[in-house]
Amino acid sequence: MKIRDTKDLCELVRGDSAPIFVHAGGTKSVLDVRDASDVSGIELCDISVLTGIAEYEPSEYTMTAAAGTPIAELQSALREHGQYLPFDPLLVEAGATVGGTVASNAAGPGRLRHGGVRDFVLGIRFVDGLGHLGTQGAKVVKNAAGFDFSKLMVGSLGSLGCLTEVTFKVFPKPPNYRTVLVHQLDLRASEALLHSLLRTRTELLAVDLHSVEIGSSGRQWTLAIQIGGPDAGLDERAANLRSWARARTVSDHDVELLADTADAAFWNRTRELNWVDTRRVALKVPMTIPRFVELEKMSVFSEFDRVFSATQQLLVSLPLGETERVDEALMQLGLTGQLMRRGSARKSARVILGQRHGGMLLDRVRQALDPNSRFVQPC
Amino acid sequence: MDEFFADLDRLLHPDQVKRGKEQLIAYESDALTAFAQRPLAVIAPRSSEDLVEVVRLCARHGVPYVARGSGTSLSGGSLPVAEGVVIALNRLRRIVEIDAERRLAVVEPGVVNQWVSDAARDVGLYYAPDPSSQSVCTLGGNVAFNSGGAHCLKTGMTSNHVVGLKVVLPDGETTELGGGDSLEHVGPDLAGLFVGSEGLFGIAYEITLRLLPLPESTYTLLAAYDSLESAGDAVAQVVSSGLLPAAMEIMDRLAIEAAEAAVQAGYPDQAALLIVELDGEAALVDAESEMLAQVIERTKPVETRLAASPAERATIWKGRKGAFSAVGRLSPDYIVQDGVVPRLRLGEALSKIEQFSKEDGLRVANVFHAGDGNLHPLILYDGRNEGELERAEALAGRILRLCLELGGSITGEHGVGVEKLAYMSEMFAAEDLAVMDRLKAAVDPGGVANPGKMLPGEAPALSHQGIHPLEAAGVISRE
Repeated sequence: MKIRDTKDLCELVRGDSAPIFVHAGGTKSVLDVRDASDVSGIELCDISVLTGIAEYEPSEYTMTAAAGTPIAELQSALREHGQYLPFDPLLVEAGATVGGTVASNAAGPGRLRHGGVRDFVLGIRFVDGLGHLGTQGAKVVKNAAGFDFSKLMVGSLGSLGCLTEVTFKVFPKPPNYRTVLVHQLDLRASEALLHSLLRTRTELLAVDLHSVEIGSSGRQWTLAIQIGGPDAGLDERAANLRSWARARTVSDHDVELLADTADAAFWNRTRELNWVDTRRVALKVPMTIPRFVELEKMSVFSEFDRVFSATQQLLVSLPLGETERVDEALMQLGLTGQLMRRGSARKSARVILGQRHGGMLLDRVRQALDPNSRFVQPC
Repeated sequence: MDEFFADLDRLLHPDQVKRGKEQLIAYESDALTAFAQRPLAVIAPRSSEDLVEVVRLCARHGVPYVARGSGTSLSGGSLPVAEGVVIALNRLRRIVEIDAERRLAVVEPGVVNQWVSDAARDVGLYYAPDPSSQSVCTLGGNVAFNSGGAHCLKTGMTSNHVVGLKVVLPDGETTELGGGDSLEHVGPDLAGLFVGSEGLFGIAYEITLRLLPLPESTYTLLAAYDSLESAGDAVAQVVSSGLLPAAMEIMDRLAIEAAEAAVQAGYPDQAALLIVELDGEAALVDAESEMLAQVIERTKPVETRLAASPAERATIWKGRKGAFSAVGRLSPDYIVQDGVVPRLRLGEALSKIEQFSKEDGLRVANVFHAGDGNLHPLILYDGRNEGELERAEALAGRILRLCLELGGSITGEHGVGVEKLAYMSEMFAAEDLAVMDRLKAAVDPGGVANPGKMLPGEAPALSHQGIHPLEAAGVISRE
């Protein structure tokens, strides 16, 4: 059903339809059940009609928008005032919307500097499992009244209610950027550089480690380091970073500096997940550097393109047929993964791989917010 | 109740359970001294195992409890529950681990906020949230109340720095929340939900915190203005310039006078002071400080001062940090509120507060986190005068309602506790409060975890207690 307004949505939830699956932009298609051969047990609810920026006052560092609003629309309004969403949303050009970004916790490499989706959600309006449209949190940058439902919704995958509006905290955007790429690294060198970088006092905006296929001999890594700020001093800071990298590599040719459009294009490819083969799924697995190194040594993902981010998550371009093996491997390691995008692959039966979190507390939260199981639970 | 204490005696060493009247007096109030309630007992677990067992006993016998660290809550969050016990967490004071590589600290709830930064300094890291009571307040309380501080604008509140939690739920079940040791997570953000739940969801017995690299450079600027409005306008100018300061603080004339009298910070004798601080990578701070100096120049301050050394920075902050206890010298008692208004409405809020102050015949000093619109009006009164506490509370209420009218919140960082119970129904619709009630009931069906806090019900009576002893000693302050 394509709802016309929030009243429709409330009525749908209060009714006796099958469990509801909410969608809008359809960019995290792996979460989408629309293409499944059998959707008889699921009520599809399209909320893409809920659009528009409701409030934006640049001096307040806040922006409120309806859940179906494309993130691109928010970014374009923010850009006019030199601001941005610091958690660095994914799949923006692909059409990601406000609600899907929050519900799937889709943060990009820029998360490193100021935090993730959870750190920039201030308030929400949502329809709970009883069909009540409520408001939680506030529209100001600082608030400590009431339970933090806004954070609870981050990563909830539509299972605890349907977001209809979100208030984000926004920040001034660095006026300009530079990126230093360090090529031809093996795992040991990559690890050393990551640790060393995170100990510097340089303000790093993003640090990603990309696997690079080098034919039959296996893979190497490229480390990407982004800095930003006012033009004054930026080139000097970038030169310092380049020297830092050169001092730690075998050949000067292994270090590359990107500016302006080249810089933007590089990071855009990462956050649009364009490097993920369209026939594969994108898998996100939160993990620290030591866990990443452990995983690499175990060769869990050795055949697949992957990006490890210093924001402490690994993104993998995974063939659908591998999900069962990976599920078991993650389970054994005590890690949890979430599929982010399916591309043209067949529907996956699973969205969450590996260990489940939340236990008793999550059960009780569900009991309070959706006692009649009106929303589809991710599996 | 006898059975409960018999079980407790079997579980713990006698020195872990205080039941004598003299022993309990110190726990009757927290830093919000206008409320007092004597607990039946104070129980002090020595280990997280002890703590979990005590919570299980409370659940089994239906004994309500409040967890307490240093008792610095400004909203009455750690006020004892009638016919209940206090679970004192001060003995759980171990910093389990400072992990420089992963930039994490793992701590027990009784660890004092400041200890974390002290322990991490050697490896070039620090814990960012800095409530002004950070030299005594504990992380268990910071987590329960999502504490803030002067540097929240850029780095966020406690919630933004909690990576993982090990908690004991009200029925004694233990569970782990958050991404373990990763900053990212999969599934609903339950750690985010737990932080700021004011003890209603149970007790965190192990907390994993994110640490940040110590800023390479700090630039602190003080600007004096001939009106509070000009200082407020300057904040708006800084914000629209695209800079992201670490802190922006304003003090009004009464607060300046008090600070001067108390700590002789050498502040200019003006109507308002603005402190702006930038921090981070030295080259970046250099570039941004030039921009800041130009912005401030255009706001036509009467005087500006720059901190050229750590000592000068300390002098600038000394008056600001001491302002609260200093205001205490102007008056036997005071109430402080921490309502939030949109930054654009700051000027309007301050002039209304001035008007309320005149109408109600009570002095109000203002010291506030201007960067995030978080007011801290200090309402001065003398509790020995009949009815003055009630009048002060009424004025505080007018200010909170004003914050809501202007589109803000009743609390930015102190929490609701018992103090702002009456205003929750003005900030949230009845149906939204009902959702909170449902959640509370589902997580704590027995209603034993800090009942009577945050969610409106019957508020306890006010009582005049005078100033908190730690505050009188200048150790804590109410911001």
